Order: sequence, then C-alpha cells, then structure tokens
Amino acid sequence: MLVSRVHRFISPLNTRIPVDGDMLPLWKLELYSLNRAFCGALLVALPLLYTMEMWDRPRLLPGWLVVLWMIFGVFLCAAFFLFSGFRKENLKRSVVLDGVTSMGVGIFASAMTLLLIGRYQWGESLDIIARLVALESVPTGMGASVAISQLGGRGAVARSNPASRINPDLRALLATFLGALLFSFNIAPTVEHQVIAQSVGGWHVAGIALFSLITSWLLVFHTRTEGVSGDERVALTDTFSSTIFSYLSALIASYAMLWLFGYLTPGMPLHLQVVHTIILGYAATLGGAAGRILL
Amino acid sequence: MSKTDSDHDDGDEKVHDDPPTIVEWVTRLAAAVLVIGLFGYLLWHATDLNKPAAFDFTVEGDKAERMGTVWRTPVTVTNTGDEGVKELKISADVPGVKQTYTLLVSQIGPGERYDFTLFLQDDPRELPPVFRVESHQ
Repeated sequence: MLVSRVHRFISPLNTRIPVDGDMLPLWKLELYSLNRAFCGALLVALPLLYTMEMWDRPRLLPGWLVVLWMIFGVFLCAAFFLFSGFRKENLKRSVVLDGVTSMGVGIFASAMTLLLIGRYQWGESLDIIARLVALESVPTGMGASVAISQLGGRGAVARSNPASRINPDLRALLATFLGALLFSFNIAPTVEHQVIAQSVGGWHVAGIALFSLITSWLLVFHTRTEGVSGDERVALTDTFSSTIFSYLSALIASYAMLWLFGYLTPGMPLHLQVVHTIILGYAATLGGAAGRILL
Repeated sequence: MSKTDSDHDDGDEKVHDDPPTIVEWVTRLAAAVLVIGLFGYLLWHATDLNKPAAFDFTVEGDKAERMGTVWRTPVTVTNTGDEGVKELKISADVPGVKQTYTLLVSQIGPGERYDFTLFLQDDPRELPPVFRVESHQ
C-alpha cells in the first residue's frame, strides 16, 4: 500500500522507457537532461561570466534590486520552459519545478565558474559573492531553460510544449519578448551602450530605430516564410503589425533590462532614457526575432 | 521491464507519464535549496536597515617595512555600510608632517575591503596617518 503510494510520485530506479527503439533507464535519461541543462547554461552565459561589468554591477545595485533580479530570473526560466526546456525525450515535465531546477543549475554553474576564474578572494564580502552569483544565475538559468533549443532535439518535444496551448498572438509576442531578453542580456550590463548613447546625435538614434524596424521586418518576414510561430495568429496576421509589435516588445525588454541593471534612474532625463532604450533595442529586436524562430 | 507509454497522444509524440526517479527528486531538492537559500540570504540583507556607506581604515603597522628612505605601509579600507559607492576619493594626512596622500578607489561594494599601499616618510607605528573621505558617488 505504502509502496504503491510512493511509486505514484517516485519511479523505481529500474524503470526503463523506450527511446529510439531502445529501452533506456529513466534515471540515466534524467541525468542526461541535467547535463544538457548545465551545458546549455554555460553556452549562453559564459561570455557574461567573463564580463567585468557583470562583476561590478552587484557592488552598486541596491539589495532589493538584486532580490528582484532573482524573482525575475525564476519567472523567466519558467517562461522559457513554455517553449523549450532541457529534456529531449518526452519525459513528464513541470514548468515550475523545471524552472526552479534551471535556476538551481544556473546558480551552481555560475558559482563554480566564478570560483575557478578567481572572482572570490579570501576575506571577500559574502554579500558581494551572493549578489554576484544571484545576478549571474539569471542568464545561466535562462541558458539551462533553452538547452534543447541550443543543443538540438527540440523537434522531439515541440508538439508537447505547453506554449502550444497559448493563444498564437500571445505566444508570438511572448517568444519575441523572451528572445529579446536573452539576446540583449549580453549587452545590457556592459558600458558600451552608455558610451554609444553619449556619443550619438539625434540622426543616429532615428537611424538606429529605423534600421531596427527594418531588421525586425526582415526577420519577421523570414519567420513567416519558415512557417515558425504558426499561421494561426488572429490579430498579428500582417507583416506590418507583427513588425511593430515585435519592436515594441523589444523596446520594453530593453527598458526592463536597463532599469534592472541600474543604468536608468528616476532622475535621468526622459530623452536620455529613450536614447538608451533605442540603442539596446537594436540588439533586443534581433534577439526577439530570433526568439520567434528558435523558441 | 517496460513501464511507460501511457498517456495522452500529441500528434505522433507521446509523453511518458512515469513519475521521476529518486535521481530527479534529489536534483530538484538540491536546486530548490540553492534557490531558496540564496534568495533568503539576499532578502534578509535587503530588508535589513540599509546603513549608508561608511568607511573604516586599518593601517597594518606591523607589516610596514622600510624601503630606503620611505616606509611601505599596507592599508585596508572597508565599506561597513550597506550601499556600494563609486569613485571614492580618500586623503591621508600624517600629523605634524606636511604630507597629504590622495587615492581614488573606482568602486567598493557593501562589506567589501580594498587594500592599498602608502609610502610614508615616517614609521607608521609612531606617526599613523589620519584618513579622510573626500568624496564618492
């Protein structure tokens, strides 16, 4: 009686499931999935683990903002699980539990890498270490959550994605937003966009906005020809509306990233906030369009 | 043994309905401990009363060594507040001697320490320097 109750939640270790004509142990497949998550985490986030600005931001961000980053990270990981994941085989999935696992893998991968590259020194403030690991665990967690999309094998799980049950328009916008966040994460913490914002004039900014729209249009067009994101959309059916909404999603993602990294402050003039957002928005637009193709 | 393939059909793909093994549960538990532990620690610190940045200077007089005509003196500045600062400008005066040193620390986070070296004309154990924070952002 007790054993059968336990087995409703825990499979015995000798459970095997059919994969490509073979019967493989379930525990082994679970370990493969975990390994995939770990590798996916590092593939996405290693450049950020080697970025000086990422090491410096935790020193200057207020504590509550770092807490907000972690909450944001867990939600993002869960949101990526709507589209992707780290399980190649059609194993039973849970958006929430797998999202937490991704974040845990992200924390482990970040902490290990930062330790190996000497980012903690003897006597270092524990507060700084915790903030640094928390901030780095967001992109690593995101990487773990999209491991399948990076490492191949997504086709096997595409049909059972929870995202397939979401309204197609909303799905396209969500994929754009998530792709924009994932891609712009590599640029948002750096100071380069600040340097650009200080050196460009109004024509440059207008040009960047226009060029972002054109690039977005080209990529959305490409997405449509590939048939990704489906043709079952109701509202965003034409290229024009799709492009505009993609760009707006990318701008919102850019603004959120800049604000969370502490680059946009309440005292900052509005026009400067707009310039920063448009500059990062270029990268986010590309990421957003790529998100719709990859996720 | 083939326990499996129950389940709902999704096109030609089948989701195996077996619950996870102990391996998966241990992984999930470890991940949850990491996430909750880190989140709890950060939350505890964030809700703590935020002390403004304050600086504590320690002259390591016993580690000072004479190099020719100057004393090589290690100094540590610690941010004892809960806020990080940028471009911390520090001055050090030696009492009775017209000698002022200035130093710029690009950034120092909460609880973080920064080590630097002063080259003083006198033995720091006899004439310890007095530090002043000039400015920071």
